[in-house]
Amino acid sequence: MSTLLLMKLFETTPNRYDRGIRLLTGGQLDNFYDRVIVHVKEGDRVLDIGCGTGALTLRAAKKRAIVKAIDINPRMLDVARAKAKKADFSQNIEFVEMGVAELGNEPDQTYDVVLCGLCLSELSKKELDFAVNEVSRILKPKGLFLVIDETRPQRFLRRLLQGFFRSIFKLFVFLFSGTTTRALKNFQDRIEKAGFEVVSFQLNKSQNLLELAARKIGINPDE
Amino acid sequence: MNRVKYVFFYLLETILRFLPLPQKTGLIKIGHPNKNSPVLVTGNYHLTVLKVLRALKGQNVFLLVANSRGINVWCAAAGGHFTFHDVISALKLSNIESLVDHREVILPQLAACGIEAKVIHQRTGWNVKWGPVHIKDFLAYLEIGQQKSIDMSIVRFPMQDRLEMSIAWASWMSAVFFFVLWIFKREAAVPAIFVVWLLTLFVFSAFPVYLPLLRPGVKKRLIFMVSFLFLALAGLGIFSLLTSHFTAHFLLFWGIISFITVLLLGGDIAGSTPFLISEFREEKGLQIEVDSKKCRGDGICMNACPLDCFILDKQKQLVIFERPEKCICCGACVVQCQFDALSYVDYKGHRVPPDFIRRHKVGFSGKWKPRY
Repeated sequence: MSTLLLMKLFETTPNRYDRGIRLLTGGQLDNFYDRVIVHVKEGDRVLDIGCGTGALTLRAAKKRAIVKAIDINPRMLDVARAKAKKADFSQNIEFVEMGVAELGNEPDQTYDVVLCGLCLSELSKKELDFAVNEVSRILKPKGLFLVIDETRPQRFLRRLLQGFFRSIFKLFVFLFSGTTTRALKNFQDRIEKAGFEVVSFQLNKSQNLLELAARKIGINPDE
Repeated sequence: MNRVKYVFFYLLETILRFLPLPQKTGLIKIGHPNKNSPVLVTGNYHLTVLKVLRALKGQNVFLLVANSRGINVWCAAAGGHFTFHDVISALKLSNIESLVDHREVILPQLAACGIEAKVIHQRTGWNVKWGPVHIKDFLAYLEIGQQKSIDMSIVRFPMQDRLEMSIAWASWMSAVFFFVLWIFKREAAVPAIFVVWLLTLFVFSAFPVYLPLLRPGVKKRLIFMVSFLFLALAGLGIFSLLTSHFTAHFLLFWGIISFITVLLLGGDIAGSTPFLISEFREEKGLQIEVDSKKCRGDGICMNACPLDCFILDKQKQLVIFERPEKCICCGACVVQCQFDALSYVDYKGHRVPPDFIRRHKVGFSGKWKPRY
């Protein structure tokens, strides 16, 4: 799924983003989303970070969760809002144009679930560390952090192969949109350090898309 | 050594100017800043940061490098790649709030077309001040107590900038010519580099001469291209006479090379300058309109406008769009106005509201379709 990088091109035309992503991933991403969303229960307070066109937001709202969906791209949010309206979920969703840097304004222990689909790989290292710590703070005790994102394969050969394809796409995407993404590295370790316990962890066949559910246990066991 | 490094990157990145070249974001301390030192923000285009560091040598300031996707501040802000989110991210994640006592951040004025100062203030409490357009003016700006003279808020296109622009154009064009000719007409590949470079340097250095021609109301591209083609042919003629190469074939071949070069440059010469509006911009033909009922005359638009289009009517406490012929529809005034008093209006009177412009930035990507 090195091709996921190409989504940066579709982001310039949000109307075509959904179709583009489906084309790039052959529907695989949808399956991942469907699977990860089983952790969301009715009435849960959910935060969707980097909601984009609302793929995860709508799935969560469909399960009657109360969702706050944030993204920094107002045009992607427009598409998401339109989709929510069409599906008749808009009353359960609050869309806000804000980035992870503003998570500091969210009160402690507010959410049952934090969703993050293909967003963490777009953050700088600093933003990623900040985001993970903030998510840990704003989740209720035993709250769930659900992440779907690009990752670096574990096995050396696969990594080499992916690195090769990815660098070609990287150049291409960079030339056209001046942007790029960073596949997550050792993400499991990282969030365990931030006080999470990994509940489930899955990779796709080519080992470069990860689906992860982590439960907040707190860095301090007394918490 | 630093100087050598600077010259190296300056040359390399001037050649590669049309490519985004990112550098690490975050806080840079220049000199020994203290709790009252000014806080500056710039984009993370590598050459920008180098230039800013060079210009601020000997000062004591905090420089926040925000993520503008490796693009220069103006293009990034206008294209929606550099928004208030990036500035907020830089402010919140850099620890700057514990390093200074004040809450005033100086942003480059040219970022005003994409970064909403009001939102930054609402969400973080930081006040945005628009600094000078050119970093070279920054020391003078500090000296007069962080005030801007009108000169400092106007974008210029001096010889050095024009040379940089011609290097940026000439390098990629000559590279393309070189490779194509290397395949089809090898002996012409190297001379083509010279022709392209000479012609491009000439076009950009002569800019002040033909600038009056490029103002609206004249068939500018045509005049521009015909005259430069004529000059190029004259140059070729003289050259061929002097070197006794004077044949029809020689003139025709190099005439075509010159024609393609002039066509590429002249197709949108206005877009290569900072004070004319590109031929391909959708905003072309739109005009700024001031709603006198909403305007309070606080002059934020005057502070953000890089072309000095506005004047203030002090008696009526109103801003007047006095010099529309200078406007390039960068949108800075519309985006910054706190009272939504400004908007674009097309020749039929259809209004593009400020919120739309804030959302889509410059270049509406075909989103705004007036209904006739």
